Amino acid sequence: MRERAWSAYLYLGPALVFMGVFIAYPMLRSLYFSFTAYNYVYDAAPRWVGLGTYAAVLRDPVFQIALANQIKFGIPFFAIAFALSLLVAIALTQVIRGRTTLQLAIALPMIIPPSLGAVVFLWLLDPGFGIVNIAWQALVRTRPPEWFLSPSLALYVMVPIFVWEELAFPMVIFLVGLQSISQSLYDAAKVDGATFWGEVRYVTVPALRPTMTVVAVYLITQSLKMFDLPYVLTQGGPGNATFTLYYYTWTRAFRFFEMGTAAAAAYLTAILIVGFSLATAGALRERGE
Amino acid sequence: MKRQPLHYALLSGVAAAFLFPLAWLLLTSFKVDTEIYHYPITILPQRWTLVNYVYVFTQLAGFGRFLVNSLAVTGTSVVLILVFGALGGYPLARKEFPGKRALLAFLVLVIAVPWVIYLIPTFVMEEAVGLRNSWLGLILPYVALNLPWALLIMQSAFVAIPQEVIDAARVDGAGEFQTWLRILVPLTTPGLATTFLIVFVFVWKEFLYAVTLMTESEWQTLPVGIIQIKAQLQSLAFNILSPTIIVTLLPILVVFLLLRNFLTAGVLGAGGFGKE
Repeated sequence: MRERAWSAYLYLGPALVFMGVFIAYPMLRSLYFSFTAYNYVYDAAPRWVGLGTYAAVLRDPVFQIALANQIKFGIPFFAIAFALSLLVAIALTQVIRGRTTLQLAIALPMIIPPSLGAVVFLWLLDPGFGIVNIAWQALVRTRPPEWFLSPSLALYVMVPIFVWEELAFPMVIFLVGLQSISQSLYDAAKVDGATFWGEVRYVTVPALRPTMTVVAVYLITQSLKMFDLPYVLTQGGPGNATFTLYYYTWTRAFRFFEMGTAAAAAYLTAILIVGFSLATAGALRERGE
Repeated sequence: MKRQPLHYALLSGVAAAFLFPLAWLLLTSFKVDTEIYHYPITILPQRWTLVNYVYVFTQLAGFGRFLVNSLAVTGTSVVLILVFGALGGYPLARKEFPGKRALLAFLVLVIAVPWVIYLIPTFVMEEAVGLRNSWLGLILPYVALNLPWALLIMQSAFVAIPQEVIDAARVDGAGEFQTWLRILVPLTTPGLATTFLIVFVFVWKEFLYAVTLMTESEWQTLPVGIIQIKAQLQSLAFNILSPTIIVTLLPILVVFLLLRNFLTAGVLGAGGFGKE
């Protein structure tokens, strides 16, 4: 086989060309941009400023707000999505009739492009004729909140919407993880007189740790990449209340054409994603030992 | 067994809450505008009508074009990804070659890195060569961005083929490429189906690249074009928006129903590699 090793590159050729031109090269060029001052409209070429670009981004109040928003958004999003997908997956393993239908119903929002999912919620929360507001008035009998117009509320309104768009994957991952736990562990727990929650606590959770790592990394990554919802729902507003890191990066690049600033922000986001992923994987593994 | 009611209550509650936005969207699309914007609101349409659908297909400027753009870009991208993925997955699974480990590490890296890192220089590059606002301007990056998934899925599909199958074909005198094409590729059908499912859904739903690179409405795909329509309408005219969104969902629904046996594998593969 060794003498035909070169033919591997023939089969891989088209893929390598595409990924080289549209991934590897841009990856390096972005890294270069991130060390430069480069306004795409005004500057003829990028001007090297070294780490100054990163320092400027870190000092930018809007970047700091975006970072704070990621924490304010990420914690409730993570808690709700993680707990809900785990609960739903556990419940799905316990029922027989209607299981596929229930699973499909809960996974269905994954078919909708996130930008259009946002439009659906604009309709549900429409101030005049949105069903949520009309139900609110009928049930609570007060004026409903102004949802996306409220600086203190807008970011948190996006939490359930994002959970709705993102729950399918963690749910399926947990289901597969749960189904791979050996029945003998549960039988042993039953012999020891474990209750349902005892089984969850002492059998399911420990055996599910690798799966939890995958879900945790996925949820953290997805929330750090959130872009479509602020773009469609609020354009980052009111004020800067719903700026995310991605939305910050995108506006620097494609509203202000500050490619150097944007590239630095993008690399900072990448560092956060990789850092959080490794930290999560490490934390869950340690407790597993 | 005695806990069954609790489980059903939880699952039905979540399922109902998750279905509601899409169900409400569907119901809205069958109501005339005077009913949509009328107190007291109605749950079911008083008079079921297709007038909104007729309107968006015959009167609404741009919608037909967005649909054509989405179909052309997704169709072409998916075909290219499947072909290049099936080609590249083969040596990744069955050959040793210098740089293989580095390539596999690169594929995982590509998946972890946020796409906006690639998008910034891609914008500059496409602007320079005039690829922005063209089908090719989206197809080329979409192929590249989705190939890591395709390659990894197809790698595992080719790994699963027993060596005896390949040996038998070679003994019969078939060349390597002929063996790949006539014997091996047909055996990777489940892998191809999984790849198709994931890649189709991602390209069809993609927003970040499309909204950035396709700034002229003539070239926009549905997820961007419908946002454009929404921005141009005076108020949130949901009699117009709801059918456009329903039409956008239909192809994914059809693909899901056709390939439902690969759904779990598809969701796993898709999410595992972090989508945008």
